[in-house]
Amino acid sequence: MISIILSGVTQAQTEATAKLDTNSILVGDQTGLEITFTCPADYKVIWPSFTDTITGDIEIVKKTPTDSTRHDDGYDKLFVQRLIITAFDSGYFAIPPVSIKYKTPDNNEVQTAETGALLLEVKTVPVNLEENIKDIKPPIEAPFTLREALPYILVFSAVALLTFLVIFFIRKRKKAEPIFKAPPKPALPPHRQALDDLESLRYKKLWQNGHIKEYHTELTDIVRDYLDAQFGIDAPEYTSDEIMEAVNKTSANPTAKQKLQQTLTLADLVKFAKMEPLPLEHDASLNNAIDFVKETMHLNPTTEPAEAPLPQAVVPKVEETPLSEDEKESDSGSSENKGKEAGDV
Amino acid sequence: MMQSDIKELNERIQKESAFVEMINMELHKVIIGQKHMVERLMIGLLANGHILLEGVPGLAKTLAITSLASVIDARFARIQFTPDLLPADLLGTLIYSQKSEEFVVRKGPIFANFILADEINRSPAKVQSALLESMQERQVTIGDQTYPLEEPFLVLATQNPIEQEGTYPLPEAQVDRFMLKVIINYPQKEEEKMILRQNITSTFPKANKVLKTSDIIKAREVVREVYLDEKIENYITDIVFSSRYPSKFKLSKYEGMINYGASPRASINMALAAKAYAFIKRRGYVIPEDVRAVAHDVMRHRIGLSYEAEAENITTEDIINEILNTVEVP
Repeated sequence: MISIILSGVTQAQTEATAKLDTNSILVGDQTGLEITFTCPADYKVIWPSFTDTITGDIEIVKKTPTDSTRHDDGYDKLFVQRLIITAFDSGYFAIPPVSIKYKTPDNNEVQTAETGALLLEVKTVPVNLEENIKDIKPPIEAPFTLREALPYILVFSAVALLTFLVIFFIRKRKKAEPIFKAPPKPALPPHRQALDDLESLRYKKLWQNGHIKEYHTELTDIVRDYLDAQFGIDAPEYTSDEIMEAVNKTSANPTAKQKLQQTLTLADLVKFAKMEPLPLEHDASLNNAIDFVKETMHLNPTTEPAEAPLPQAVVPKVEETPLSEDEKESDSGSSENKGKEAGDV
Repeated sequence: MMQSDIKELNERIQKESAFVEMINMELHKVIIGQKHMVERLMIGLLANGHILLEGVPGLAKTLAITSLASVIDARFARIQFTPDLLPADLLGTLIYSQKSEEFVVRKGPIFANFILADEINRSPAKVQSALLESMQERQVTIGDQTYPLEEPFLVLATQNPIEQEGTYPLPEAQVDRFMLKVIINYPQKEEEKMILRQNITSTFPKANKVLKTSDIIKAREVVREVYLDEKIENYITDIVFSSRYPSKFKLSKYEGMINYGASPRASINMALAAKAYAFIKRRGYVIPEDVRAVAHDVMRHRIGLSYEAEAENITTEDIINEILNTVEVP
């Protein structure tokens, strides 16, 4: 008697319900089935587990995890699970009661609470048989999202980058260039470049090793490049006469012009008339070129001032003793004659 | 060639080329100005090349050639090219002799040392062909007999650039046979005044004979000996090649403008003309100045322009100038 009374008390303390969002759906439509169970907070509840169907005809599409909350009184506990169900056959389908097992704290025996049974009506789409048969609708195009495109974009970018790197590497290798170039050195002012080149020409010892033609060719090439950079004279494409004609139009002093003339004349004789000058003449020609550069380097306003001491003409020069004015005149006259003699071969 | 050989050659040339000065002096007695033309006539004479003179009428083209012939003890013939001229009128023909009852050869005016082919573009192609073939082969065939032409043999052809009607322009292949094409310009104002004065007096100056043909042949041998360094050879080939493949010589802007560039004959003639020029300047070796001095005259008739060039008013002179300004001088 006591147990019956107790059982009744217990029964009265729990409540299981099942509720459909709507009890009438179209074939394939979805609806929600909410299962709730209320019991005292100290009860142990064994929640039923659902597979993918409720009955053979009603399928579970989605199920939420079982949620438990306390009632406002703090005494009872509410368990809720929501199922999304559907059916693909028309008719009336009964949703059987859901059994929820629980244990009370003072009795180890498993007791069961059941929800009520529900009826779900699944209707078919009304078909007008008098109308013509229509074709099946094509699948609805889902919009292409960035998430779907992202893998393709990444793969394409990786392939493109890899291809570019391979081509870049092959080209560099073909040209025998370093993969990463060092930043270019700032261009030297024309006179500095010319003087450096003339000094390095001296140390190459070309004429000493019998390469007389190469020596004078290189010497005139340096002078031509200097004239091009310093005065804007297209000297590389000019003959010696044309160079002198252009230089004569500049404000270079007559001595400098004369020295340039001597260098070019001797070089022409060596290059085109197989002349073999005396050893002193080789060096004199180079020294004349150096002197010409030094004497004309300040003529162009774009020329930067020399930062380091200029290289000195260190070639063996003929010992010079101080000359009187008359001697100087006669000396310059003799050097002119010397030039003419060289010109005559 | 050793250094001493060039030195020796230089000395020889100093001596042998003295006559150039004499010819110049004699010619300038008769011709005022036209220094360029006279110098080119000398180049043709010394380098054994024929010359095409182009200029408007009255610029002393004919006078220059007749005067050149008169200062050299040589046979001179002037042929006026007309539309009805026949090759036989030029070369000669076989004439039946009733006396000997056989065909005898009558040589044409081409059998002379200096030929003035006046207004060459007025004759039809067959006559031009006959002349140009003789220029190239330096021999003439009449009947079944071949006759070599006497050296020196120099053809100086003239043509008028203005008139087009009733003319037969020389085909490119035939123009190429001329070593130089010299363009003659109007004289300077002062020169013109002197010409005027000279021509209104009763006595017209006359050039004297100062040279024999043998002297010319001897001088030609010396000219051939003038030293031409490999650097100059490279310079010449660079100039000629740049007219064929402009883009390889930083002349891409002329890529579609040139139909055909200068032929190998241009290289040969440029080298020969540069040697002759060096000889005239009394030097035993060629320098780039010599090449540049003759480049225009050697190349101007050997470069064919495209329609694009003509549409843009680009002339062969522009192209040659640009070539000379672009190709690096050794």
